[in-house]
Amino acid sequence: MNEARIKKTLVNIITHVILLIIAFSCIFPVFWMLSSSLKSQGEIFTQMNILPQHWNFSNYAEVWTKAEFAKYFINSVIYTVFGVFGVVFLSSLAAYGFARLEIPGKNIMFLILVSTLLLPIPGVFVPLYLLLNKLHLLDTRLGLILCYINGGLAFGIFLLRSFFEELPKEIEDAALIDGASRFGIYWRIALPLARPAIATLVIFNSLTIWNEFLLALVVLQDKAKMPIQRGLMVFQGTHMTDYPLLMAGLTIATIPVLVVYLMMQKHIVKGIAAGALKG
Amino acid sequence: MKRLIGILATAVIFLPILSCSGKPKVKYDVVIWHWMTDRQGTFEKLADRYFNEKGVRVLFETYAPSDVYKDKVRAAAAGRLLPEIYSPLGDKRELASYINAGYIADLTGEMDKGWKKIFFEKSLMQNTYTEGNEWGVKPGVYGVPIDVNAMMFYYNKDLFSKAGLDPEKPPKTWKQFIETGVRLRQAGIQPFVSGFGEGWLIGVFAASYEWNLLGKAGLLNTIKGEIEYTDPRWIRIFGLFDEMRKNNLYASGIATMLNKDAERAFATGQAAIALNGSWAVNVYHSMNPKLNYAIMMPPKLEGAKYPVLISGGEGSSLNINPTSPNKDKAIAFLKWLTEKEQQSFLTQETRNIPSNRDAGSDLPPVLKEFSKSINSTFEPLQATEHWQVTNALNMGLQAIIIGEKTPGQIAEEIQKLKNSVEKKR
Repeated sequence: MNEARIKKTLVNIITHVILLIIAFSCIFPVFWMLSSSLKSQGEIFTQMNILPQHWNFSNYAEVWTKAEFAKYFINSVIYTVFGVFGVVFLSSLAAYGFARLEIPGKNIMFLILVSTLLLPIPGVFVPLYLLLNKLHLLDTRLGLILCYINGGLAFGIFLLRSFFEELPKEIEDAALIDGASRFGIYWRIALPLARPAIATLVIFNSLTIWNEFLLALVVLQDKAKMPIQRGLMVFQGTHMTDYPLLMAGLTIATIPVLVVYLMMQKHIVKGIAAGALKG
Repeated sequence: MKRLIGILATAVIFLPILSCSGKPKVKYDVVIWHWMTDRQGTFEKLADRYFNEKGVRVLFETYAPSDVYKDKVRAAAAGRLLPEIYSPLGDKRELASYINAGYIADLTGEMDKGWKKIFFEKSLMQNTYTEGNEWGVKPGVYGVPIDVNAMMFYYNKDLFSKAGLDPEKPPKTWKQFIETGVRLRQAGIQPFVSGFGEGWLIGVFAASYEWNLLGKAGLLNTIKGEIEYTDPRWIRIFGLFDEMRKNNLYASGIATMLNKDAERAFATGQAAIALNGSWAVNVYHSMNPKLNYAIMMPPKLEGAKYPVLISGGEGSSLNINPTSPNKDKAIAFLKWLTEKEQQSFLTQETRNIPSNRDAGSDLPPVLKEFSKSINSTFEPLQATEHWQVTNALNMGLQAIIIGEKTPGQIAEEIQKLKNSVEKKR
């Protein structure tokens, strides 16, 4: 008995040590970012201290004014909110259709849609640019948001379809008997039940759109419409980088993502397990 | 359902805001797309100055990193939506494809009116195509250099002193260079560092000795296939990397080191000699303002037939869109931008070597040394080696650096590849 307990304790200790090492390796870059954001450029390269010798809180104020962060911050909020809303709304509608409606060739359509996940964004820059130009959407916020929605749809449909397929049909049949329309069932029954998967989708897309930069640079020209990542570019020169200001900028840019994550974290594991892995 | 209607109504309200074309309120006569983030503030000041002087509005728009900038230029070219001034940011082959497609204006006529005279001769070469060039471009000048650069050896004077070496007498010959490296190593100092993990820096190092041993004709004959990579001169060039390895000159991990890491190693005194470009003056200053260093030419090989030359010449340059209705305004602006006064201002603000050879009087001493060396840069050849061979060459040199292969083996492998590439052609 004692031997078994010792064995269990040993396994527990080893497991925790491994987990602590993994956690440390995940947290250290964030800690380095915070610490570097308060150092001077010279100190970053010449001193190997973990904590700054002189705490330069002024780096944050400088970043906010020098890189016009306020303007870019609002732009990023607009792109993220509308982009995520568009992805969730359209992909949930499409996913419900794929899961529940009898449409000829729907499996082939689904495969084609999912296969677009394999296309890397830089590979479609030129056709996308030409298409947006034809639609007079180049250098517009709407053009960029539509690109973001388009980029997130395939994964959203893939995730939500499998989730909707798992929902008990009996509830929907009962609603049909009670006179609910197909859209009514989607809106009042299927969508509320898919909350965990939607939370996962919101987090994934918020992260993607908030951090996205390449597409914005290609689609937009007007500096006033650029997202927050454009602000970070100010500190990265052709040959040199202002690390303290860049790290302060990154810290500011990370805060909204952290907030979204903390708000929705309880749904993540549930959502992934219930939807994505079953797909 | 009410909620859904509310959401849709909100979307309808916001759509006009989002879809507004966002054309700038101010109409600009000349738009410039560039990638030089560190110069944007200075460029904007110059654009304001130009508007006050000439009444022409110029807009500088930055797109970085350079890979994204290149993608944007490519997409805009396909849609015929290029701005008045831009740069495709590529080698001569890529520039030629833009010229042949009609996206870049021929500036020969303007240059011949006296504009050409203000520049360092070498700075124009990257944008100049001569008769019989392999890309079929009509001979002429197609770009305007904004600044110039050169790549030399930096050395840490304090570390030289620590190793008992005279910091005012850096090595001038290859033999002295190896001896210096050995002395530094004996003093516990890493002798040489560079971002050899990036490949192109190995190419830059080797290029000085290719010009030193083979000269221009020898290099062109190699590209044509008339001189083989198994030629003793090529094997000697490959052997230099082996000699450095055998004498323990390389800093630890150099074969996979990125230039940023190599810059940090040199700036923090972890290595005594570094191969880098003139732009690194700013980099080292930002990393360690107290760094005590000087620059030197790559040491020449004993018995070499030609002078040792360095990589450099044109730094950043801009091209003009010939289809723009404001083409003339764009040319006039670039002429103004490359005048001595504006170039001096750019130099003072950004500490880059100006392309106007009369504008460098206010440069810091090290950059002045660099600007003197512009005439020692080798010229771009009017033919290029196949990219597969160039890649194999850089990778082969990396294999020598880590002691995986001998110079003879690499020479044979590259020649074999060259033969197969030529056969396919």
